[in-house]
Amino acid sequence: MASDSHKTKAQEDAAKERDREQVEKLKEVWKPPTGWRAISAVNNTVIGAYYVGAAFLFFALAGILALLMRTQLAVPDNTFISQELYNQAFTVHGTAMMFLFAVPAMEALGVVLMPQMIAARDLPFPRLSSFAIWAYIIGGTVFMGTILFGLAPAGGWFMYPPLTLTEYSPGDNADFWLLGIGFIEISAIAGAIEIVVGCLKTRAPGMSLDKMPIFAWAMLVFAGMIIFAFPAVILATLMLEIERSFNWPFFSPEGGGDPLLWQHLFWFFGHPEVYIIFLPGAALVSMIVPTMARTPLVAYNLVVVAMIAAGFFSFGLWVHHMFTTGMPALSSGFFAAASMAVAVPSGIQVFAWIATIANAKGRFRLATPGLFIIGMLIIFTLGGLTGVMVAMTPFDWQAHDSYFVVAHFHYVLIGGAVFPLFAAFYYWAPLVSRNLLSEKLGKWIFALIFIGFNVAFLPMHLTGLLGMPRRVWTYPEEAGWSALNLTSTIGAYTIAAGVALFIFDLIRRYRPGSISNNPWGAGTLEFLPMDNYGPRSIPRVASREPVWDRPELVKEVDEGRYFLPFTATGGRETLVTSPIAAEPQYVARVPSDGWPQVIAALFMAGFFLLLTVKLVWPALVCGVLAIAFILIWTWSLDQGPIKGDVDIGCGLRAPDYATGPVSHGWWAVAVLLLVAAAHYVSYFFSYLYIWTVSPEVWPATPDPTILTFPSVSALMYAGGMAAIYICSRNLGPPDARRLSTLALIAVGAGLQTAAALIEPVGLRRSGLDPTDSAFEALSYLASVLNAPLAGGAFIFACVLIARHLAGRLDAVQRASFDNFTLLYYYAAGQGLFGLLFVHGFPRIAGGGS
Amino acid sequence: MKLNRDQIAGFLLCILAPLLVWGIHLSISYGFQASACAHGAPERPIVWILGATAILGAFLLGLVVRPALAVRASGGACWPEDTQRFARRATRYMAILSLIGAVWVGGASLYLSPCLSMR
Repeated sequence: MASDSHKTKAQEDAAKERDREQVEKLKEVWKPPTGWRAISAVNNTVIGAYYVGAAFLFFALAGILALLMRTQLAVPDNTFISQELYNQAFTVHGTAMMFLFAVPAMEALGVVLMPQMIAARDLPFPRLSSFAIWAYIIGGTVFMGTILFGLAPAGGWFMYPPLTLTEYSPGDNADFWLLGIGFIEISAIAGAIEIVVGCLKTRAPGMSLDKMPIFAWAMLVFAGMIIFAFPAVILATLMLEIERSFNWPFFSPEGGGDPLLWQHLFWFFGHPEVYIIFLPGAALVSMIVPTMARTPLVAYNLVVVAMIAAGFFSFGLWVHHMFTTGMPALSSGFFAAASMAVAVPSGIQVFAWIATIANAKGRFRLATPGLFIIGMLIIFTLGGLTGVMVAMTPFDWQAHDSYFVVAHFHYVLIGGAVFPLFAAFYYWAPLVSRNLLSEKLGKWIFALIFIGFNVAFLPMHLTGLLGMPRRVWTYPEEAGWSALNLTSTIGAYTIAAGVALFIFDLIRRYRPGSISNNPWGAGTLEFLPMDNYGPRSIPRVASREPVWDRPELVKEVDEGRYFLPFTATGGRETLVTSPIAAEPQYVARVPSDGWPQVIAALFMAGFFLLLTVKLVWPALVCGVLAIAFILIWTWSLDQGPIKGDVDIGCGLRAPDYATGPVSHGWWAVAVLLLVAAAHYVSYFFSYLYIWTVSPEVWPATPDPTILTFPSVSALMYAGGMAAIYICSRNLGPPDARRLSTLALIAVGAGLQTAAALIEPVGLRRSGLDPTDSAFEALSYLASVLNAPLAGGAFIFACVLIARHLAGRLDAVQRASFDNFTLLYYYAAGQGLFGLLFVHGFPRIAGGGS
Repeated sequence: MKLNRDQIAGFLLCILAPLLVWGIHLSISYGFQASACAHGAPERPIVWILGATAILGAFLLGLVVRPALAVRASGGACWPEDTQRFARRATRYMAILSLIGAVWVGGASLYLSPCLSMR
């Protein structure tokens, strides 16, 4: 018996020692860099905090611009700031609030919170996140800085041509918007790709889609909307920049273009943008309300449906921003109906929150997060109601471009996003700092912001109905708007006082504390005991509120009883699961901290900035260096199978490598190609739209000889695809170097690049000049859109050749190759479609000249 | 461990199908009306719009009544039971919302002249 007891004790000690070693190893592997090296960090908890911080800083700066404007409008005939500065201030305020604060803040919360909620160790592409965040910080800082030097754009946040064409906006100011915001949008898309793949492929085992936290659903919808909405405005900014720089008449009626095309493209992005901001905000509320009410969310299924439906419907509403452009009454009728219909899914969410609060039977905690949620419910509902008013065309005709609209969208956006964000700061602060923000100050902050908001914006409904147009620099006393404007200004300063108090509280309390892991008693996984590596082990989930349903889960997770309680591969890793049922598939090694992605972001920013100020050659050098550092960063990502099947805990083993559609890298490329496809669909729409309004610039009888070049180009695309297909089927075993592999990749890349280059040469030889008409400009634009894809595939092919020579590409280690083929086939498909469309459509539909 | 390949495309297609139908309906309505008015055939779009509303509305009604058909057609038999139930409910709710949206949009053509400009 004594011997058994000793044995048991010895086993226990050994188990404890093993446990301690495993935790030590996890800590060592996931330790973030300190000091100035902190910039090179990639872990979601660290860079997510940078992201939230930067977004809040831009919010504060854009808020200061709002105070400048409100001070200017406080009294009639004021000359506090010049008209030019006022124009720049409202442009930068709107642009920064939308592009530098609202969308990035939601994306930032996704980076910080989503991996914790789904119990992933990290996002699947940490260096991509780091790249996106630094690109955003650098680009945003430069953009905000333009107002200090008189270089800021002044055309309003939606930059309508013809005001923004070179004739009416000379200088580089408008270019800072076009190239700067274009650059920041690329960063948003990179983040969206990360979120989609993270959400679908790195959930805790058992967390099937029907058990996913509402916030993860919202981030999935949010990222999907970015993927389909942002390409439209990227195309629009590209076209406007090309028109400004090279006189291709996309938006100039004298060349057959149409300024309304910009409005279509901009609002096809701009209206979904509102829901891109609101849906994650609503999801924050859907996460906080159940905890504050201590009862599960009422109608989870309906809330998920409502989020998806609202996101989808929002793509069919863009025309309601254009009711006053002179469209037929029936067109506006369609979009008025669709705009009112979207109120139904939005209303479903509001009623679900109210029902959940009612379900608490008086136990709803009115702590600061709860107060901000009540504030949100009031403000957002009022904004939604005025939204239904402006969705009605006759009313919109009266209120359009007046302060009524300014009041409406501030009620929607501040109610739908800013109040939930403040609730989120108070609710999730302990995740980052292990410290709650002050409840006492929090109530003051809520009161100041809530009262200030209503004092500022409620009167604006009246100033708008009394006829005050938006964006006016000043107004005469006889207009009768003085008292209302002064009231609004007092309200704006009250909000500012609330925000200043919040910053004070944040500075005071944002430091490591020692409160419990789950101070609010939430039921979701982000409040499990966490370290830099996330939870000690990744739990198996069986319900939507696993911590409420199995309180012992917290202890079990912390004791390492579930998946990956150790480093299975010896480095940073996360568990990849199947997208629907979330069953373990393989262990993905995730990269550690590093500099290449930060330097790549810096050079990429340099490329866009130098291009803006027309320093073309230095810009190109920066572009080449950015690509070089991206290649350095990506070279080591595809490591091949190192250990084969590894122990992942719970008595299971899983491979440490995957290729093709199972691999998370393949998914990222697939999502990227959706972005490319959305970009091309926007081009397709633009072409057809311009043909509808200006058929006279299309040739009536095209010259048949024009088909020689496209025919050669099409043959090259087809030949290239055949070469890559044969190569894919004949990759050799590990360590084999095959000349045929090198040759086939080179032939494939060469043929596709040549095919993409021949097309514009053919257009030129056929006598088409892109500066002559919108038809010719749009014909060339197809080639412009193919160039980055063909160029990307060419560079990727060069990397694959190098990988094969280095023994890193074969029939087993082929994840990079599979990703390449996806890109390659898509590029070839788009190229072929472009040839067919650009040369076929004028022959079928013809024109009028 | 066998790499599980559950197909997200089938799931997304299942729950998004009603919304896609709504999108197709809006595109047909706006597209036909805009191009018909641009090319001087003002009365024809009404027939197309009402026809599209009737056909697509019937399809959506079918999804409201029998969402299980869409789940089965999307490969839902391979999903966990909870997920199948979720997909059935989601498809039904999406179909109801889309039906409301499509009838609302299509109904506008009964009251407004197709090419009357408000300018």
